[in-house]
Amino acid sequence: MATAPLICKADLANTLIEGGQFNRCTFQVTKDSSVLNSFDFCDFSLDIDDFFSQSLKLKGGSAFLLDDSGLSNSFGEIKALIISVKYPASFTTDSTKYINLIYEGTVYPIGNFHIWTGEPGSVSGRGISIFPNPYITSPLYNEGGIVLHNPHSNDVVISTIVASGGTLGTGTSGTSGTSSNPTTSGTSGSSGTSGSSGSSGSTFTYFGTSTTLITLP
Amino acid sequence: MPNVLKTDSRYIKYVDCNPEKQKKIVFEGSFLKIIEGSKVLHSLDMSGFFHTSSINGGSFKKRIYIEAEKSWNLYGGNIAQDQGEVSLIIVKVKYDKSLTEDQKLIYWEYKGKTFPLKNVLFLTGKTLDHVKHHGWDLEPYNVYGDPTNVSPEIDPEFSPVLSPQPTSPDLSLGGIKIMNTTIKEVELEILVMN
Repeated sequence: MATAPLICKADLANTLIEGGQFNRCTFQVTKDSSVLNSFDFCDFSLDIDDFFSQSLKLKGGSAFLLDDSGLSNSFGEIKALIISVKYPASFTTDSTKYINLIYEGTVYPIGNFHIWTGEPGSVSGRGISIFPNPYITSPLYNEGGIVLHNPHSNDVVISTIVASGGTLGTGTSGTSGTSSNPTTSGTSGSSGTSGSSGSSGSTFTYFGTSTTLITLP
Repeated sequence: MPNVLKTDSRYIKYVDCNPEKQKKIVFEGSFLKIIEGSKVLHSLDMSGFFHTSSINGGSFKKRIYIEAEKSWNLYGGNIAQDQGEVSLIIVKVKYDKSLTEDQKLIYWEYKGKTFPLKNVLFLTGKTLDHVKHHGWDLEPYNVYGDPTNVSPEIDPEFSPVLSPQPTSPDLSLGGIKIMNTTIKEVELEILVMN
């Protein structure tokens, strides 16, 4: 279980602050030694078909297009997206510990953790649309595709898990793995399963990782 | 030798012939894991996770039930910062057991965009006390239908009641509308922090 950080404000010196953390599979909101609220994840279980995970260091100011690794269904949708963000010690102000998630043309924040789940099926909109329309060249990817953008000058470390599932199965987009990216450094390999089916498919110039710098509206 | 008792197969109600084949995402210990039977295929260590509350914030937890084909609006209440932003939202969904796996899906709407929600939603951001920053906007306001429509039907369920009532769509305000599109009541457990 994480330890609540000490804060050094003149009026609150050495006071344990309120915050949320995992105590085994329970998310607890604590202050000092008191548990103010708790949220049980012990009964959480999500059936998936295949998954793809990836860790990368996203340099300051750079953006990264998530790869579906062939896991998305015929609508370009997946069942689960999990993102964990770690900020190095160079982030000295808590309020700066966020990155941007750009999805269908809109910017959303991620602090340190993010889970989206769906149930891809026989119609579109039941899953998370991760595969961008290949004819869209806008960096905002307003027709599918998810871009992670680090708006700060310091690097952040991002771990992502993309999981498939649902009634229509996987394997339409036809690529796998990720390519290295000049805007990222230290991209570690993916774990996961051998995973996806998927045909050879065509390779689009933007597919995989993105070198596009996102200019936010 | 006495009779050896055996299982009467007529009384087996649930059998999973090949549990090793199903991959699952679960929380075990302080890890989010992807497992296949007893094999751990991948794990994400959550032990270092700490989400700080705002000095003037707090948290609340709700358990609510949404009837079939009804919706419910989530607002930030008094823990949100001045403009209604919160820094963490968790929603967990429980479905009626009579629903098929394919039917177990609801939706959430935020600033005019609709997203699927299977069983867990976990959103985080960062807020500041007096200015809009990078949190999730739960200021009470929501609209039905196409937000680009010049005169959408305004959701009548504001809590607390806004004064004056907004008369035009203002997507600079927020709130999350959770829509139960199934044919059975769903149970939601919700935690909001700021």
